[in-house]
Amino acid sequence: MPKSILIVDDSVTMLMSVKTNLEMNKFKVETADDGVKALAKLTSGFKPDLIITDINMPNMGGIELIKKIRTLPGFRFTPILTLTTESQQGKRDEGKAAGATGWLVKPVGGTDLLKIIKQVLPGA
Amino acid sequence: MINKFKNSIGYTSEIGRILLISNGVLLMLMVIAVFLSFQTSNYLNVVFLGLALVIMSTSQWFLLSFRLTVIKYFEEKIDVTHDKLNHIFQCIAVQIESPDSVVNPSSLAKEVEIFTRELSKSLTECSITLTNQMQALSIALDNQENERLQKIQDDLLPLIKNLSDAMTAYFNISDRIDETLRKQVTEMQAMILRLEPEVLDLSNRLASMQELPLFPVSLRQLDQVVAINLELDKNIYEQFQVIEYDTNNNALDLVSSMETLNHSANNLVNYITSTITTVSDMNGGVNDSVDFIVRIGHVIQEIPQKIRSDISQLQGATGVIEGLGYLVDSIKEISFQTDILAVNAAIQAAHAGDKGLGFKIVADEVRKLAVNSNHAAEMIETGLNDARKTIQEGLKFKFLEEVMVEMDEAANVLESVQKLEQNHLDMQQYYKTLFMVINQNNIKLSQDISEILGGIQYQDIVRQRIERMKYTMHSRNELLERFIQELSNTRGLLTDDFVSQMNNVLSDYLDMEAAHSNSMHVDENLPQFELF
Repeated sequence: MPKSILIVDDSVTMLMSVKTNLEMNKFKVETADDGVKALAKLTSGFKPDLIITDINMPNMGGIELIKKIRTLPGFRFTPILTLTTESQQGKRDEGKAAGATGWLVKPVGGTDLLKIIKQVLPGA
Repeated sequence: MINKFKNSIGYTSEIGRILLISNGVLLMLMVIAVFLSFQTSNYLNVVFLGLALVIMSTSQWFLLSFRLTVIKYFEEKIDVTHDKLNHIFQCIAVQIESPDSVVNPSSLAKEVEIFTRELSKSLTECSITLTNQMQALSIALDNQENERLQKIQDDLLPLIKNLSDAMTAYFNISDRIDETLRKQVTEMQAMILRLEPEVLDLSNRLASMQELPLFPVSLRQLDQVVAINLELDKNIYEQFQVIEYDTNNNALDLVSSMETLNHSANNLVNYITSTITTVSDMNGGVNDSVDFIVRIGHVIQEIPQKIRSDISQLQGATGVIEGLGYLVDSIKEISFQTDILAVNAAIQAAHAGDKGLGFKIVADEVRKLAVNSNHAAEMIETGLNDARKTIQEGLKFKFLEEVMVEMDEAANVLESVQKLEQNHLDMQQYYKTLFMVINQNNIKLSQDISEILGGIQYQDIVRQRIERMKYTMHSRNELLERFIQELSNTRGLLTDDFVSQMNNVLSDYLDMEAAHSNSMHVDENLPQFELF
């Protein structure tokens, strides 16, 4: 049973590149281009094994999305990684406080991303 | 005509001056005469001369006051006329310069018409007043009966006539003036319409430029704003350098990854190509073994049919032999009965005595025949048994021989199967190695492709960096537009708020850039990957 991953980013390029990379490595991938759509997917029954989200997005940013996900039933321990160009410690602290599992600063190489995913998803 | 009119006014003033000077000289002469008479103690002359002096002074004062009234009237009226004309021309100038004339071109013509009518009315009133006063002056002069005054009147009359002619001519040309002015205004209107965009643009430029050097405060603020903008441009330029650096490196990484990918793919293709011969050889061996086994299979498939055919033939031969056995039994039976008949015949021949000797001989021969027949039948039976046995044994031998051949072939099949198994094992190992190599290459290819896909993230990084620049430049341009607008509206009197707002644009941009990753200035204290 392949592990499922939800990618949230307002950049079509990011969505396509990360999705292709993960699907090549036998992951089942869903995408959303902002926080609102991602939340709609999660509340409609989709329960991914991992969520990777950008921080700066229209409608609903990554920090707010993480906070809301943590309040959903069944998502308390779902690993959430941020993949963003934001690198300052203040933002990292915000992400950590919101409930993020890890902070990745773009660009993240394809193999590095897979290694990190295997760290947070044992058995993947 | 106007000059002529003005000249007539000048003549009138000259007459006044002549009157004044002549009367003044006369008074002086009279004063001197009074003084000399007083010196010579001729007091009667002094009294007369004094009386004459008083009369002369009175008449002089009267004449002088009358002249001043006339001159003042002319001057006032002329001044008024000049003022009105000046006003008209000023209005025309204002209308020409003002963009409102474009909006309402008929207003100027209407105003000119009104002023022209007023001017005509004023001139008419002036003429009537002048005529009346001339008549009064003429009466006064008639009353004075003074030749000198008459002469002056004679001089004044042509001048007055000239003035009247001038005024008449002016009235006559007023319509032409009005018409000319209307025409000129229309032409100017068309010209203004053609020049309007350029004039407005020039006016705006002048309005925005001409005030700047006049206000040191604005210049200082302008210097600050320019300095902040230069600093902002410098930072944006640095970010362009980062973009250039990132895109260059990313392009080089992509090229390198593509080369690696191409190399891995080529290795894989070469490896697979080199294995085709080996696979072909192994396939040949396998095919030979398979063909042999198939052939053996066909032989084995035919064996039961052959056995059934042999058994059938055996059964047929046995049936024939058994049939022959029945015939042998019949022969034996016939032989036995013949032997009994022969014995009976011999007995009967013995009973017949000599007469039966021949018959006895026949009976003996028949008996011998019966014995021989029985013997032959036994021999046939023995032969048939031998034949049956021989057939059975022969068939048995043939079957065993075939079985032996088949066994030999079976032994060959085993060998073929062993070969096949060996080939299978070889192929298993071969394909295991092949798949392992392909898998390794696929993993490498997958990693290369993953790295290439990771490199595409630079597009998003550059996009976000350009969006921050666009946002900042938009804020800066909005502020600059307000800056220029306020410069125009306040004629250079700016608030310090602009400088602080421009500083805010700069500091906001610097903060935004500092918050994001910069591949040219990596902060070692902040890891690129961090698990909480």
